[in-house]
Amino acid sequence: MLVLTRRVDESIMIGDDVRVTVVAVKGDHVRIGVDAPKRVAIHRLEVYEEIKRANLEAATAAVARTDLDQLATLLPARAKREPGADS
Amino acid sequence: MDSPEHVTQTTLTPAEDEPLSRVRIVSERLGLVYADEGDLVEMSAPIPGFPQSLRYCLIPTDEAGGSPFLWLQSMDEPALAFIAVVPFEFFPEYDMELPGPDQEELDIRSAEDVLLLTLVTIPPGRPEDVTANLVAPVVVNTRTRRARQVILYDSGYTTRHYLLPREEDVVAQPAPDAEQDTGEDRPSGDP
Repeated sequence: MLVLTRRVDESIMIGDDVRVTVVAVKGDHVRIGVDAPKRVAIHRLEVYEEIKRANLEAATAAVARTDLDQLATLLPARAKREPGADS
Repeated sequence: MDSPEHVTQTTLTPAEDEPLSRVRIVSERLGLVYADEGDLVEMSAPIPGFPQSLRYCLIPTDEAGGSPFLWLQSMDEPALAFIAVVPFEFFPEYDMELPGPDQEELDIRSAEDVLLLTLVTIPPGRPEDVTANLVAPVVVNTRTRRARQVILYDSGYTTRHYLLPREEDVVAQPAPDAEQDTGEDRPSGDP
């Protein structure tokens, strides 16, 4: 890992369009500002990892063929609708 | 797109029931399916965990339209499919505010642009324990067909909310640990 020392209000650039700035330091809390193009998703690592874990589980579970049919029998009766349409 | 051998016979001569305007999709789970272009979505950022897939297609799980569940089938990885549902079907109280940067990135101009979906997990062999990920919905701009999985910081929602009533009823309530996030360090948008 590249480790750099920065003071408050100093920044680093990652590539040409991502700027990371140390906004404030208080004890062991560091506030960090990130300027990046909107297409770049920025998340706290632990949150990102949790979403990733949930997605992997969802994708794996989607493979089981019979469970979806079985689930259909558990659903309360509902009016017919057009899935994927403009709801 | 690569086609498994068992479907290559249809590639040379389109079958009569294959309208030209429809898109062919190879799915490990569903086989060969055809979709309208209006059912395709392109992720503006990959769904976390699946960096290889940006193009997806929404396919009803039940052609008759009786099921609220949709397949979110990757067009880049035939083996990858999610099950998605409009959250309001099961959580009428679901309350989310699309973060500003995501709204801008997806070019959402009005509520009519939005198709909101949540990914669903059906635990193998225990479909009654099906859960929805309410903290990270997939937001589709129906006008541009662009989408992304949005993370709702400080919403109180989690990756697991039971869709069906439980004996001890813990359904769809925002988790009490919402306070652990102070909201003062959102990834973007604050001064």
